[in-house]
Amino acid sequence: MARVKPKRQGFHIDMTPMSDMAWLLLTFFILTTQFRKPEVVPVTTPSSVSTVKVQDGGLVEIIVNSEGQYYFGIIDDKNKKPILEKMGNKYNIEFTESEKNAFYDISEVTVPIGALKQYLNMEPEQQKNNNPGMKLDSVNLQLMDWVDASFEVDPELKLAIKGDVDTQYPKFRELVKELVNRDYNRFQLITSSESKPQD
Amino acid sequence: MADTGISNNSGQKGSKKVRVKKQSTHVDMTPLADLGFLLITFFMFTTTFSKPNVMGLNMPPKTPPNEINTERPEIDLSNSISIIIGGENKLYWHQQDQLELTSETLNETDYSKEGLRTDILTARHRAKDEEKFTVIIKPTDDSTYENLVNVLDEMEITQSTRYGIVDPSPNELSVYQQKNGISSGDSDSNSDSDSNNE
Repeated sequence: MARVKPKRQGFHIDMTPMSDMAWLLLTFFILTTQFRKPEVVPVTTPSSVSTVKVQDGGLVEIIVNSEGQYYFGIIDDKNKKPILEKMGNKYNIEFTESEKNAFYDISEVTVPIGALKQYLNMEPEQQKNNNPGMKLDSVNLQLMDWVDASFEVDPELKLAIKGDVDTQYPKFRELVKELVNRDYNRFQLITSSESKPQD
Repeated sequence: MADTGISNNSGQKGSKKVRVKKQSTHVDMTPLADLGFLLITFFMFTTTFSKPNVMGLNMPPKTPPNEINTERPEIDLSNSISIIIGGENKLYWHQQDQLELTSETLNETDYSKEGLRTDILTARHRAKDEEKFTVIIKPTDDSTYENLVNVLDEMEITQSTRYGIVDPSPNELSVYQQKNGISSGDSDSNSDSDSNNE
């Protein structure tokens, strides 16, 4: 008689544990990811072999773009309101509650302080097209006032400088000169990563 | 799973009571696992790449004008190297006193591995006291921020811990401009040497 044909076994692996694990990891990554607010100022940072990662909080950054415009970024949301209030006091500008809330939603101060009130009342679409940046020279030191205000709010802050690949050196020198003038001597230069050559 | 269930059933046709087949509640989890891993990959890549690096830079504190030391301390010139960062990705170095610098003693180099890195390392080996070997970085107004970061990067690679950023002296500037004016004249030989190094 013909051999009993072994019944073809359906080959099934129970995928449940695998998908459990996948979704568990996924949840972890979703929770740990911090979504950055879209950057208004496009800056291509130069690369370096440094392996130190930028810290998550406790940072204010000064951005110098290729046209030599300066921007001031506050990374920690909790510091934004007090810093804005301090700047308002200094320049005698009264910010309303809704303007302070609008300040939460922007990641960088992209307009001079005089135009900030108007800027905060704009629609996000209009804000995108209105980024003249700040100037910095010996008579125009409001960028330094922003830094001062930030350090008054939180003296533990670190100061990061983010420059564009094409930023001219005099713009950087001016910035460092004014910062050293106000006794800020330690900076972190933000760069993109590059592998260290093996020798 | 469903196939086996049906064949079992037909095999037992003789039994009195057609048993209600217990329907398997197994759902194929493969697509779910696929999707999960796809999303994981996405989140992993976005987390790791969104974080830029930082490079520490400490500047000396400002000195009150009345405390500026006008005496020039005795320095062994072999213990230091001055790097002048020029425009158009040009790079020069010298080991002279800044007042005695001439265009003959100002050497041109570049950002490649055989360029600046080797120059710094050989200069350090020549130094009388390697512990005190100092790199003085002098960026000119023509240079860009990227040039400066690249040179600072070389400090990290060559492990030169003693370095400083200062403005070039007037004499160094004029020698640099003179040299730059000459070298931009014979651009042919320049582009040749550039392509060799890359």
